Amino acid sequence: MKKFSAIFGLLSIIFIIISISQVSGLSGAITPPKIDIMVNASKGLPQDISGIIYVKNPNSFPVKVEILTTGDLNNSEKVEVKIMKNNFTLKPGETVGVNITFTVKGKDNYKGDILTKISPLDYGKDKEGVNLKASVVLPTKVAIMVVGKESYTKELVVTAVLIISILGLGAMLIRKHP
Amino acid sequence: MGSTFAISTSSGTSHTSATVNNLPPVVNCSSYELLIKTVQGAKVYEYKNTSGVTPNLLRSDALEAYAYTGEGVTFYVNVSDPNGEQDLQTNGAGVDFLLVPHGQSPSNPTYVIHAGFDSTTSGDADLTTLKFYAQWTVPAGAHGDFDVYVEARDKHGACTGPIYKGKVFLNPMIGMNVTKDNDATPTPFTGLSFGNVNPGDTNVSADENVVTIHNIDPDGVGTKIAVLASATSLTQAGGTGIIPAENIKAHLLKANGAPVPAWMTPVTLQNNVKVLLWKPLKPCNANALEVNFTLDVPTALPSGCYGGSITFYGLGL
Repeated sequence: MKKFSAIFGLLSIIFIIISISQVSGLSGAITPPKIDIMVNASKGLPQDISGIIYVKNPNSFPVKVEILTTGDLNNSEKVEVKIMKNNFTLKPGETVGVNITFTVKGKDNYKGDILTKISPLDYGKDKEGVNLKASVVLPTKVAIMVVGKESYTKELVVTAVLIISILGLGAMLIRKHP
Repeated sequence: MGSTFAISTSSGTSHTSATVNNLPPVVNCSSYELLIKTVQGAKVYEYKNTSGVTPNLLRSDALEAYAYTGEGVTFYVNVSDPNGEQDLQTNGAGVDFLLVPHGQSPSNPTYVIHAGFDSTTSGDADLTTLKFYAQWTVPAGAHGDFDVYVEARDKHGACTGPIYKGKVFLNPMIGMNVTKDNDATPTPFTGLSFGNVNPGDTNVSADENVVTIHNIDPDGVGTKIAVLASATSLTQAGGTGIIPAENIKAHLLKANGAPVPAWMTPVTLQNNVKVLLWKPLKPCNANALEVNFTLDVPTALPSGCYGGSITFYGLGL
C-alpha cells in the first residue's frame, strides 16, 4: 500500500511539473520565407508569375492573419501583386495556402516583402495601465530579376495590322471614288 | 543483363571472333554533389560526397539541405560505362535525378530532372566516365522532404535502376513562438503589460518578463531566423498623452544557449521601425532568445490608460 502511495505521489508530481512547464505563447509559421523569381523579358512583358504562401497556426487558439506587401511590391506600375486572400482567420493547427500572382511589368530588378501578420483573434479584457498588444510577423522576401531583351512582337503585330487596315481602307476609298 | 555483340576478324585463312557484352552504366558511389544558389547567384549550401558539407555558407549547419522557391539546385554525379563513355552520350542514353517524397518508392517520383553531361569530361583521360549535372529551379508550391535518387541508362537501354544519393527539403516552414515567463494555458502571451506606473518611473519591468522567443523550425531541418521587433508609441485612451516607443527597451539576456554580452544590450525600440534583436537564432528551446522589456515613463504625462502594439518579426535566413 505504501509503495502504491509513493508511485501515485511521484506520478502526481511529474504531472504537476509537466503542467507548469507547458507553455502557450503566440506562434506563427509560414513557407516560403523567400521567393526568387527570374523573368525572361524576351517572352514579353508584362508576365504573370504564380506563387503560394502556406500559413500555419501552431497555437491552441484561433488567430487573425493579415497579409501585406512592402517595397517594390507596392508599386503597381512596376509589379502588380494580387493576393487571393489577405485577411482571414485560422483555427488552431490549421494551415492554408494563399495564392499570389506577380505581374511583372518592366525590365528591372525588384525587391519587397510579403508580410504575414499573425495576431490573437481575442486579446481578452482590456487591462488597466500601460499595455502593448503583440503580433508575430513572418516576412517572405521577394526578389524579382528580369533578364533578356524585351520582345516587342505584340506591338509589331498590332502596328502591322493597323497599317494593313489603313492601307486597305485607303484602297477601298480610292476604288469607290476614282 | 546487357546485350551481347559479336566481333569477328579474319586474316588469311584464320578466323577469330569475340563477344563483348553490353554492361549497364555504373553510378560512382562517391561522386554525388548538391549545390543551392539564390537567384542572385549566392551560394547558400553545398554538399560533396567526398568532403561533406562546405563550411561557412548561410545554411552550412542545417540538419538537411533545403531550398526555397526560385532558388537553383544543381545536382552532380559521375557515371561510368564499361563499354565507353560514348554509350552514355548518344540517343537514348541519359541520366535523371528523381525527387521522391521521403520514404516512398522511387518508382513514383514527384520530379524527374534530366541531366546533361559536362563536355569537358568527354574525351579526357578517363574514357569510361562522364560527369552529369542537372540545374533545377524550385517551383512555387513545392513543399516537403524528398529523397534524391539517380538513374542512368546507356544507349542500349541498359539501366542502373534508381540509386539513393541523399535528401533535400523543399520550402521548409519557418516559425517563431513568443512566450512569457509565467506562460501557461489558458492565458497565452498576447502582449506586454507595464501595469500602473507613475510619471518619471524608469526601468519599469513588464509583467511578462522574461519574454522568450523560440525558433520553432516546424519541419526540423535547422532553419535559422533573425528576430526583430517594432512597437508603436503608446497613446492615452480618450486623451492626448503619448509614451514614445523609444521609451521601451529590450534587454537581451540569452541567445543560442549563451548569455548575451553586456555591450549588446539594451536595444531601444522605435516607433513603427523594425530593430534587430538577434541574428541568427538557432532552433531548439535551449537556443531561445530571452529578453526583458522595460519602460521609462515620461514626466508631465496625463493620467489614464495607455495602449500600443508590439510586433515580433521572424525573418527566415
